[in-house]
Amino acid sequence: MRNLLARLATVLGMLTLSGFLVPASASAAGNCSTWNYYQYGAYMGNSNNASGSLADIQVRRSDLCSNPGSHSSLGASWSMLAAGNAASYAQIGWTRTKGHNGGDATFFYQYRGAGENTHTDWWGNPSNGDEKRFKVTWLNGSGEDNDIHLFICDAGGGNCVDKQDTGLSPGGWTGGIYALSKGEVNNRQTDMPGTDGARDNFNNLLQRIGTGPWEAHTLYECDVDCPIDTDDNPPRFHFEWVSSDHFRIWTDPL
Amino acid sequence: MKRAEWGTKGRALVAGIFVTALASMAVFVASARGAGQVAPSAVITAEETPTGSTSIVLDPVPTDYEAAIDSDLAVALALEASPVDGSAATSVKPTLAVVTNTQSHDVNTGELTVDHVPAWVVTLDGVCVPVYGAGSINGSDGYSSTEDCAGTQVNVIIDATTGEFIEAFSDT
Repeated sequence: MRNLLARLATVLGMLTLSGFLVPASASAAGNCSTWNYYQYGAYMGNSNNASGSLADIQVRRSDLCSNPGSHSSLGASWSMLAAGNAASYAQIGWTRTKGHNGGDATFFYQYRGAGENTHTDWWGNPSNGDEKRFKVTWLNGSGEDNDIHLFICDAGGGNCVDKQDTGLSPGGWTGGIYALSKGEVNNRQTDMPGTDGARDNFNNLLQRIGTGPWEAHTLYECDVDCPIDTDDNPPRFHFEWVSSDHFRIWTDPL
Repeated sequence: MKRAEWGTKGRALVAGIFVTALASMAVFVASARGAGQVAPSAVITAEETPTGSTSIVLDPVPTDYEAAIDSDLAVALALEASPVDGSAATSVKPTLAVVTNTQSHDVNTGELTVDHVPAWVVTLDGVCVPVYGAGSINGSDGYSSTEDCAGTQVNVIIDATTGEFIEAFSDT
């Protein structure tokens, strides 16, 4: 009951701060005004026909813009397999949404097959700085079920949980298969995960091709010059390679 | 009034004030968040799997079960915990059920972490489920970086005993 009281106090406090009770000033990220999906990260091209994508990704709080309108202001980081025609994909990572428990992070996965429903699940309450391995893999080996599975593990790969059997078999996907790991926001005024002093690390980036093992393949920075157009990322969004299997992203505050 | 007697009555008075405050706060929070019409609460009467879900199973609660968290409070907590902006919801429906997630295995024990938990499944309609990674691929077949919402319904699961957020899901 004490815990419940604390939660309710938090709700009331949040409402106060968010302007339901008193006028609130804009967040540090500013007011939302340019909705779209803005992303920064790395990818392996579709010509390789990836069968797996994983990364050890940190949870990083960053400022989410206010007044999201019909779109919940969000930040997220994830790893994904996606068809070249974008009709099918499967991804797992973490996200933060304006309003959710005061901006706490949750883990999430989302997937869909071409023309099918989109399946999304949110769970858990990771802390700022936590690091997890997010793994999307097509279990296409001998004796396996030939579906894409979504795993969450400790950083480094221990204690893996098979969070979801998507039922998707990408053998028939159109346009090849990309392996991607990215940070994302859905408004130009929101900060990409990470700040200059606490950048969001995507480490131990590994991919699978066909029925092969997990390996570090050649990746490409995915920004405005990404072959899959990601729109014009604002110049305050930053990306840097630490090594060929490790990059990090961050944002200069407004 | 004797000290012991006052102690008992005092605690009862404080508890009464507390419960009243909780209820008032819950109603206030629900209205303050701007959610749409809240439907009367419902209960699951037979086992079912929500449409499109592959891992959530809902069973009826025992007939004599009384939730510590009432439906008003569950709605308020769900709106707070919603992973999308719950204030955009055009309707909100709390349903009491026993919830199992058949893919919530604990890594060490293999046991389910969400296994027959009495919970409120609060359904928010009219919200926008984001398409994570939508800008990754500027594809054909009608899927593009400008895709708006993956769906308009989210179910937020609130533990009916503790009020804790368990998980949320959308299959639309």
